[in-house]
Amino acid sequence: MNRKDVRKRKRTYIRRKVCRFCADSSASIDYKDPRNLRYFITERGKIIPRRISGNCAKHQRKITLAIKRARHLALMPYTSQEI
Amino acid sequence: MRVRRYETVFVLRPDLEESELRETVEKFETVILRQEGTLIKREDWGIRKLAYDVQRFSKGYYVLFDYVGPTSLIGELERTMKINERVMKFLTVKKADRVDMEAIEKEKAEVEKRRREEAAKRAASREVPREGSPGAEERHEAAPEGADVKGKVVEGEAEEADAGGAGGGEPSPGEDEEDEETEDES
Repeated sequence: MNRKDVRKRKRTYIRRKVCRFCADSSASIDYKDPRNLRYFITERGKIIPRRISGNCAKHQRKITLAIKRARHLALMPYTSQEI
Repeated sequence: MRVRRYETVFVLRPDLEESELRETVEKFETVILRQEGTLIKREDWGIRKLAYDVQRFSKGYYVLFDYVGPTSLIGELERTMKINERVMKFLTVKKADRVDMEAIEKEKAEVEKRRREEAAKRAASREVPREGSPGAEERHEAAPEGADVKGKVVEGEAEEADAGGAGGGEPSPGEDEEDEETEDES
């Protein structure tokens, strides 16, 4: 009884996120464009996991690669000392 | 010979003179040409702020090459960059495995055309305030060459300013959504 309640309560929190790149085919993933990639890193500079960003596997792979390339070129931080 | 399309971004030291910059970039261009490559596009992003210090510099001069060439070209180009002390960072990315040389030539012409148009436009807008002043005629003759180089730099700077403005306080999605998600998981 109690467990059921909990589960029910939990379910209300589940919000299916749609991968923004699947939804919008015009959005491109490019390592030369750190402004858009910034959305997928935390304030510390870490890459946000898929379960939180809501990306699909395919696009998350591309994002990750793009962020890593941007980091290599010093367009994006590996870490951030601020905060 | 098998050719592919590549893209190289490299970062030069910010303390170089204009002439040194040009000389260095031209040196890499000749490497591409000597190795039977075709340079399609060259983009100067200008001086940009780095995300972290490199060789104690907080800024760098970014240049992008978009080109077609045989695989052996990459080795040679990267070797040259590694040796050159003016280069702080570089990255080469393969854009396409197969290339259609005809389409490439067309694209190259297109890029060249656009570049000329922009340069002409800049030169024209610059001429206006000077009109009527003595010696305007002579300057008109000299303008295109100088305006070309200057124009590129201005473009880069605009981009940099733009990036800095947007980059500053953009909220990261991680923080506010994280709480919600952990509750899902537990």
